[in-house]
Amino acid sequence: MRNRRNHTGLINGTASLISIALGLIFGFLLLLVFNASFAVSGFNNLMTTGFASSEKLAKVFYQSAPLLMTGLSVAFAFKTGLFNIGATGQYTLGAFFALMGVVQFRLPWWMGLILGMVGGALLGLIPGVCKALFNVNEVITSIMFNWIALFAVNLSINNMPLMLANAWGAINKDRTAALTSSKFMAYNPNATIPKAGLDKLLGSNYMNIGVFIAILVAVIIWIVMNRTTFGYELKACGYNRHASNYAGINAKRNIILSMTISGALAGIGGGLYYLSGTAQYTLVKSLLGMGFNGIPVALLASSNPIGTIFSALFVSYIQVGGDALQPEYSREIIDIIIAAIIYLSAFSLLMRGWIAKRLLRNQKDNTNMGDEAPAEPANEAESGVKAQ
Amino acid sequence: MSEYVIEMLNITKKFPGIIANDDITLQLKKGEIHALLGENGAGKSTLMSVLFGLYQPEAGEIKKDGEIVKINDPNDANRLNIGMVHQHFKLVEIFSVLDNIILGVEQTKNGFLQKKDARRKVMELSEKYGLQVDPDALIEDIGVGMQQRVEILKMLFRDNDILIFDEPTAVLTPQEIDELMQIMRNFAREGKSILFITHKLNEIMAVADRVTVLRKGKCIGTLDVADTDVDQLAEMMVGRKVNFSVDKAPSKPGEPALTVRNLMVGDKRHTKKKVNNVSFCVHKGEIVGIAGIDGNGQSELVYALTGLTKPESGVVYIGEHDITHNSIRERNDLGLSHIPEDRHKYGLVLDYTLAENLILKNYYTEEFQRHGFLRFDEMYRYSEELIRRFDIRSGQGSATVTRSMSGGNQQKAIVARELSLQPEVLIAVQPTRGLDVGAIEYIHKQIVAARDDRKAVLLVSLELDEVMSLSDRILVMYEGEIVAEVQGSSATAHELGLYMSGANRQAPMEVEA
Amino acid sequence: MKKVLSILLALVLVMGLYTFAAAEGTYEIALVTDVGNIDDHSFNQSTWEGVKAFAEDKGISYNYYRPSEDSDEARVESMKSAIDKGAKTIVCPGYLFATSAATIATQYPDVNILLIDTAPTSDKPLTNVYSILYQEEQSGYFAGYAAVKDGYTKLGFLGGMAVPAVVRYGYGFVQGADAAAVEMGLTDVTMKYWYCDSFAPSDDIKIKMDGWYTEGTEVVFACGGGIYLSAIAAATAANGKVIGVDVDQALDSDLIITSAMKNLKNSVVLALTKLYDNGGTWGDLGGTTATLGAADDCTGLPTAKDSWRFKTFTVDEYTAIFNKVKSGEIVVSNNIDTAPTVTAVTVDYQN
Repeated sequence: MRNRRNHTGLINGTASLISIALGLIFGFLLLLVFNASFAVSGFNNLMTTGFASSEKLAKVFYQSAPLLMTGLSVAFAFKTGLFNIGATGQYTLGAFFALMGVVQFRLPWWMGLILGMVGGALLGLIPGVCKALFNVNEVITSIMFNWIALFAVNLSINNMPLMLANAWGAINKDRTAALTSSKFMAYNPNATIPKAGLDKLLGSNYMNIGVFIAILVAVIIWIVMNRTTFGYELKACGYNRHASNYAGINAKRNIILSMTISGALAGIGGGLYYLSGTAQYTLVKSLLGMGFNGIPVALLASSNPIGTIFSALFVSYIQVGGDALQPEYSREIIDIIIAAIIYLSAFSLLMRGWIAKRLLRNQKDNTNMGDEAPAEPANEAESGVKAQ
Repeated sequence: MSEYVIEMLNITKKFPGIIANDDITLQLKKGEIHALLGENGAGKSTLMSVLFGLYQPEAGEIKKDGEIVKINDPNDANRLNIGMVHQHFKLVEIFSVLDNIILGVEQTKNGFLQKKDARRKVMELSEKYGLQVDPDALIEDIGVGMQQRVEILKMLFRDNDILIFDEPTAVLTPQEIDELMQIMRNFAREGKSILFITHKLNEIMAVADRVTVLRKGKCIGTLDVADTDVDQLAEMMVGRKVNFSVDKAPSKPGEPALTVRNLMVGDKRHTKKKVNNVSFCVHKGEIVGIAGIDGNGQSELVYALTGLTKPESGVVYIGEHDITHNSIRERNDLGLSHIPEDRHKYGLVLDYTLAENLILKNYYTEEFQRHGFLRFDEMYRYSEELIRRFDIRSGQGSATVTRSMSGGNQQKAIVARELSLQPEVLIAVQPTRGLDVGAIEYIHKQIVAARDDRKAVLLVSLELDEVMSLSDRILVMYEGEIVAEVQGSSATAHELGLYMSGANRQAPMEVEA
Repeated sequence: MKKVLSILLALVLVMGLYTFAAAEGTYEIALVTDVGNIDDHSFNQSTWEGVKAFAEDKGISYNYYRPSEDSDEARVESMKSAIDKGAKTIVCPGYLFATSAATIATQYPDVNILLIDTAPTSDKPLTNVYSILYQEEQSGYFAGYAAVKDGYTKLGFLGGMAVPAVVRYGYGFVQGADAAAVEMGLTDVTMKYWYCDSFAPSDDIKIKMDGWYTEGTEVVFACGGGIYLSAIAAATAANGKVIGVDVDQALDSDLIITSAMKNLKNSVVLALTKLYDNGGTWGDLGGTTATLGAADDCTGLPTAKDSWRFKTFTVDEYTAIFNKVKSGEIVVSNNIDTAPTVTAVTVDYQN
């Protein structure tokens, strides 16, 4: 009876894999274009570096944790019919709240993560409220709040002397405190996410339990979306707001909740990254790419929370592989190649429609449909377009 | 010169998994009114899309005046003087009547519009065929009847002589239908050829010269209307004998179940009320039908009753409870069921499975939920039961995504869900819209069965036949007001038509209860 | 399905190409950038030019690496990549390397590290690290001296963050201006002095500079990363002048009358030459920190014809004062704890 579900999973999975393959082929072509003599070894590096050493594997995990969270944030909003393009702002505010927790209030790391979640949630709440109560498009509000968050955070950090690196023995104050500097460790030894011996195991400072926290959150989100009445309501609102309203579901409340949760997820991502001990928040005036990278992660996973785990790992893996293209390819070229691969991979959405059509055709050719034909063919074609 | 102006010969058009048109031949004579009859999904729309170049057929050819023509897009069709009045009008709401008529064939001079000649031509056509329009009125301000006239004038303005009318009577009153028929006869006399797409047998008998019947993509036959009758046509269309009358015993109304007093619903753009001081009552064990032309406040009335919008003033009771300010969920819990007019917009979450849609209104009850987690086993059990009881057919049973289901089965799913809630009051809006005869019969039976089960039913439909055959009492709505109340058994289409068009109204009624 | 197959086939082909994997390059001298790129018109660029000049001259393989993010861990990672690719010497430009260079030096004792503009953060001496610092106060001194000599009397100092190097530039600038004013017997020379707490251009800085130029400031010494862009933007509107920093920035704008340089390129070449002359180890230099200045021709103003944009101040006059500093006749104070004492110039320290 439930084979339809498995079917969808199969289609999504195949679509993602084909898209990835297409992206990689395109990436290889770019390698050829930019520096043909190193294209083969370069592609080899791109594909194998992530698994080549435990250190690199640690980096894959390290980068994938925040990516997974922002991807999850975007995917969650997608599932509920909203486009959270504000993940980067929520991520930034989450990072700030988390850092403030461990630096200013001397809290342990897990309290920092919770604060980060709160920060992201607050920033997600605003577009949610605007959308629900005043019907202001969440894309517009969340884009604007990206910048508001960025500058508010920079302003705040600038005015919190304790937060800056130079309060802890460094000479510069263009970034936040180094949480692993000896001076800071004496002040708050529990500020960074524990490594649980994994750093020794994999031989890299990058490694901590962050990626496992992120995976756990992804699983929880999957359960919420697919097993609870709350998830049922959220998805119903996402698919068809009118029908949900008609059925007595409080669509406005769900929009607000959905954006808030989406923001909270991105906020946790900010916390995971900046409490890792390796990264310091630098006071720059451009939006952080981590939030935007969540979009292809979500698309590649067809917004499935479990799929997000794999797509985040994949994107991170490709990024680590990309770094290994140096020095034969410059960093800018590498960024172009990686972006091309990731974004082509995110075409899985298109690919899914294509595969679904193929499968459907085969199926219909093999078995007659039994009962009546589905609606008017003309309409069917139309709705097919909409469905994509 | 061929006897036929347009011939579609042996047209075959396939879609994945379905043959929409299977070897269909349709020949249109000059100066005739030719009806194209078939249920939804019979292939009428596909055939017309082929004629307009929207689809290319796998087999078959199209001839104009005996010459083979190739139609690649609607512009080609227009060059061959083929015009169409679509079921859903293709008009720019904020443009004037004149602007809509000339849209796409505007004359310009130095880049400026030249509307003078166009205006004269429109006025001439309008007088010649009795198509009264105000060329300067905005489309959004005129009624559907006049909008249809604008669509017809659009064809005439382009000098089309092959006119296709797609379900043109759906939005008209009986009187307006008569007028339209007369206009169509005038066209035919002028030598224009008319293709009249419909599923209403009476209209074919009244106006058409010949009729071609389609069923499930196949051409069943072409007949002279003079040599046939309604029963034969119906049998050709459906493939079996059809019983049009609804068998039902006289109603035995009990105590009031749904009471509405002085309900007012405003309009964002106009000062005129959408629902103006409406009062009525539906008792247990009766079906009250609301008749009226589309856009006379029926939808707004239903939205206010079900809680989708807030009324300006007035009171609504379910039984003894004042529900005027209650949420939709609270109304549902008090026993209000609602079959919405637009099943895709309101009735279903199309990307959910059938099972998920069947619990859309009670997923939160103890039956389907424990500690916030859905009980999937219960959901599937319930879904299987409803599928069996209401004979809902789909590819993969409970796990079918409803988007892939046929319209009739989608509607059955909604009816199943709403009736299974054991409602006190059922509000059924256009419950059979777009369905085939078999599904219509079935749903009508279910509604009567609900009545006999002592439910109160409020039926809102634009199909006068449906209102008349199901209702125990009929209320007629015109411009937001209830202008008449008639007993279902004694009502005639002519009488109702006069009320629906505003030509007649009863003295203000006293509200009972 | 055919398309799917063909795609898979193509993929298999690509995989097949692995068997012919071309030899990967190795590079003996590696530059790792701090976060920016080698075309930043600043540290990374001039260091890179030094590496390039030396390596090409000697026929040694070289290349550069850019970290994946702005963190010590990423810099460590890039240095490791460089070592994996055969680097025997790693050049690290900028103070951001203080910690990461020390980490690598400890982990890879056989790799030589040349650290520019900072000393490693380490408790133990690291014999494979040679650090270079500069006497920025001398460059600042020359710039201040030249500006006043050229007739400018209303000066401004726009510092980035008040890190030691920037402060040394600034205080040197004050001392140079004062010396020139004394020499010329002027008493009306004024200077506005401000740290903007940033190394990136911004509207805030531009607004502040707009104010300065409007109030009469004629030339501003923009000292720190990209903030000179904000100064130039303001100067363009007010027809003012700017003094560049670190490298010869004459090409960036016609408004730049001179640049207070430290000759990174030269010092990198000098250091690498010493390294290779010594058989590929630092030898005595290991673990030491050199402070280079006029004596090593590593501080000064650009004297190329295109860069010399003074009205009256001549190259000869500059050479004279340069030689005095070079010989030690004039000693510019490098005290960064207290502001220099002035006798002729009025300095307005702003917050």
